Amino acid sequence: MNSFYTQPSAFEPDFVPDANLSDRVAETKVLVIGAGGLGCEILKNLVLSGFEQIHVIDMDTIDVTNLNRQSLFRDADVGKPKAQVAAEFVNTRVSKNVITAHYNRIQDKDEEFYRQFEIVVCGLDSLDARRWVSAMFVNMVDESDPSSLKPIIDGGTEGFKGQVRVILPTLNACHECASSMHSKKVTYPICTIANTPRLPEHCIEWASVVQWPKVHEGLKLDADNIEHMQWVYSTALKRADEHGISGITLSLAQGVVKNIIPAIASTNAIISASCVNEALKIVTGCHPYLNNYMLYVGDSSVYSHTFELEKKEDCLVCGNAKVTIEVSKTITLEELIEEIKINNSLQLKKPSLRTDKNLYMQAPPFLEVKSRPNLKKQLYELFESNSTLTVTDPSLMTSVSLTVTFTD
Amino acid sequence: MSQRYDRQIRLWNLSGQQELANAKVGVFGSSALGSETLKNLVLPGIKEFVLLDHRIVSDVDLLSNFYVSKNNLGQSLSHTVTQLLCELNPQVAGNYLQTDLSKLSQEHKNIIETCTIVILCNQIPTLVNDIVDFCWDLGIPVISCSVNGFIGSTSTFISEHFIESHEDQIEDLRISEPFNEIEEYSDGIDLDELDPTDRAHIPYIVILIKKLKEYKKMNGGKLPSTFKEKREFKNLVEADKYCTGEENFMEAVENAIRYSGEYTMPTRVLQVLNSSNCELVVSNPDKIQFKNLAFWVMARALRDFVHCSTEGNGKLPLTGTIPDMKADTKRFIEIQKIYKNKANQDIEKVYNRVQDLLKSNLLKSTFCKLTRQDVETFCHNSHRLLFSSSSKPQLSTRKLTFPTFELGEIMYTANLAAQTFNQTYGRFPSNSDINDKSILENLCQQVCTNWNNPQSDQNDQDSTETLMKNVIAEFIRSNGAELHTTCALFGGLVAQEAIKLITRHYLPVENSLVYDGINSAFYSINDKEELL
Ligand SMILES: [Zn+2]
Repeated sequence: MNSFYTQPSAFEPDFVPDANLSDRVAETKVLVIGAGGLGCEILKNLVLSGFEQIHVIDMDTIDVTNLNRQSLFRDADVGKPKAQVAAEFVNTRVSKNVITAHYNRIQDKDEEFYRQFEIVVCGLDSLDARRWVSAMFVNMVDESDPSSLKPIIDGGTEGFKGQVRVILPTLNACHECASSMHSKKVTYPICTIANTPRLPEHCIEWASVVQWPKVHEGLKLDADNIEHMQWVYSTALKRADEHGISGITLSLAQGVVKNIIPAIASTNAIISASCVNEALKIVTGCHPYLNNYMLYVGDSSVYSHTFELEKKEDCLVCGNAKVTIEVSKTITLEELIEEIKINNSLQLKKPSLRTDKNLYMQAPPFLEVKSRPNLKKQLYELFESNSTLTVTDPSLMTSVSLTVTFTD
Repeated sequence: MSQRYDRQIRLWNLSGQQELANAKVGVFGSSALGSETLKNLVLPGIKEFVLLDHRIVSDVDLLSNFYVSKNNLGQSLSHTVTQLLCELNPQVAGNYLQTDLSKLSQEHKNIIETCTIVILCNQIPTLVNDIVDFCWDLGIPVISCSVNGFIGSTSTFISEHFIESHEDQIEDLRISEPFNEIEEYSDGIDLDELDPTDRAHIPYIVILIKKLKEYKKMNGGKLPSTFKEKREFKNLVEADKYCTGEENFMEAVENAIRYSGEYTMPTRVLQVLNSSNCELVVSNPDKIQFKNLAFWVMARALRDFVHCSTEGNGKLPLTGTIPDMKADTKRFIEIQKIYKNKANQDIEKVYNRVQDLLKSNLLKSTFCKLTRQDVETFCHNSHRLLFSSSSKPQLSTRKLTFPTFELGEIMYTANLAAQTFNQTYGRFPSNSDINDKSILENLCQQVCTNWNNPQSDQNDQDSTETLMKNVIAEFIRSNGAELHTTCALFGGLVAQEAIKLITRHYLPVENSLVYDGINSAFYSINDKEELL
């Protein structure tokens, strides 16, 4: 690596060769979020690229289905925390303590924890977690303090496809800016499921979404419970047989109910290495870094596309978003909350609402109890048309201003 | 087993997993590129691998190779890497051979003959040539790859191959030239007689077949062929009196352009059917490697099926699957059955031809056997037959000529030249010797004709020459460094290509590919002579 630090780059004229760059890499404090398929590889790649101050955070434990790709785990590790096993494995292999593990949810850590890092590499499989991380680091930027801006390199895979993006919070597109291009779970129209099933998937959805709550009132379907899944499978199979549909298997039922995304070692290797390559270029400047999105598709030959995602002026998180919603003044606050949850430009799960007073607070418990009676009230009893509500949600670090206009 | 591999079986099915579980992978070169590649093959569960190298573990390996550790210093590199890789998956058997890799030996050949696929990591060009030459006749795929700093390139050499399609990739609906059964079914539905609810549940396949009939009647029996004509057909569908926003009609409008053209046989499949091997397999089957014999027997049967006017009549066997579409359950299942039955009839015809061929005197003595399942898989994937060249590549005597000469081709050429430099001098070019740069440039000229005369357009020439200059500077700067991230990325890429070839699922890279870690991009390179 040293020959790259001591000689100029023909592709990056701004680079100033500096023999001390390897020390700089070793001292850079980097946070890896996720110790799964991508995380394992990211950790190994960082260490073999010269990084020595690495922290990793992950709340998961190792499952047998991880072993086909998560290269730092062995059969005997099933059930143990991913972050700890991964850190220990790499530290032992390189005979040096270079990785510190945090067996936590990302939300358990506060801004102070995240502030200590210079750069973040994410290997996450959930959109919600990505959204949270992006919002946290956008929120942390203090314009008077350049060190408060931490580059995020975000990798993701699905089967033979993957993507890498470089987020410079507030400077370029954040996670939220691109929310329209995130793939969502495949959903089947309820009328197809109920009336005109054609695919095995339709029958499985019917069994799990329509029949399960009817038959097992109050019991939540647990996709990891094999008895539950057997019931879904046999119920779906019966419906499929009635309609002459073939192709129901237990494996397919699990895939549909758990929304399982295929994942393989090779794609993870490609995307993780690409992430760490960007981290190395950002920290050392020895080549231009990715601006700002690379898509990899490996299922039909190999295709890649590198392009710049635009920052959205009215982004909920990093822009000046003004969201307006039009409703009847006679609906209840509870109904308004449901409207907000299904609103596509908001995509919130547990919104809390305030005007100058608390309308409804999901937490803490004493405020929830206190504000709960408002849920049944009609909107005109609570505020006037065109009022601006402050909306907060656990999936977002910042609050959103929402203008509610009455249609009547 | 299936629980461990659940997340990947969802991609390549149990059939692909079974191929993996039977596969033996031979890897030449056990530095970071080799170990990272093998890691991605051991994890998903190949049967076994064999790793060949001459080196012992040194300090340099500790910096770039994750599958060695301090206490292995001085030990055999291939042995160490093999041991540590085997920890990844107890179901995989690992073997190693401490061996000189400066030329291909009989011992190497004996090992190669037992392999499903051979992967060459950073090997010198003469060894690559000899191994490709040896494997070509055996029908064993070879992937040769090398990395240098932030840049890597890989080439695949396969003599013949077919893959399993995935339903979302191929839709063979025959809407423009319907077979009897589906045409009769569609004729049997009278849209005027249906009530609106029923009409909203007629699958778009039926709507399009009906509308195309109407179009042909208006246009002297001709199908739309130009884009303009296809647009006109789409307008015709849109203008139907029943096309008033129902989902099924919207689907028909959406698919009108895509499915209205004449049936065309994929070029790659034509190359297979027109190959001289299709003649050879009946006239002189001994000339074909036994490993490839089954492929060519089926290819010949397929050709006869396609050419026979009462069988394929110019078309491949029907795929037999249809995508989901707005429809009531009863009609959808009926149509699904019609397609499935027709596909089964086609397979049966090809299967009968296969059995007739195998009974012929010349083939009988080869003891080649093919089951109905083999033929079914072959037919189902006949749209995806691959066949790269009828004669083997002559790597040692050829000179590259690219139709376009851009950054990817420049990097590919420079990487090949750097490998040749290493073969001659036993080291990679660097700035420690002032002559290295001009030697490397000369080598680039030797391996590639474009290097002398990059482009005719003056502006383009300037930028192409700048790129060439910059790429040479970058190769001097990197001095053959095996950067871990580049090795890890390339290890992923090469393993993925190997998996596609072994499982026969998904489409592999047929020629060469360059990874450019400077600009975070992949370039596919067409560096093989087109012989057909
Ligand atoms: Zn944003």
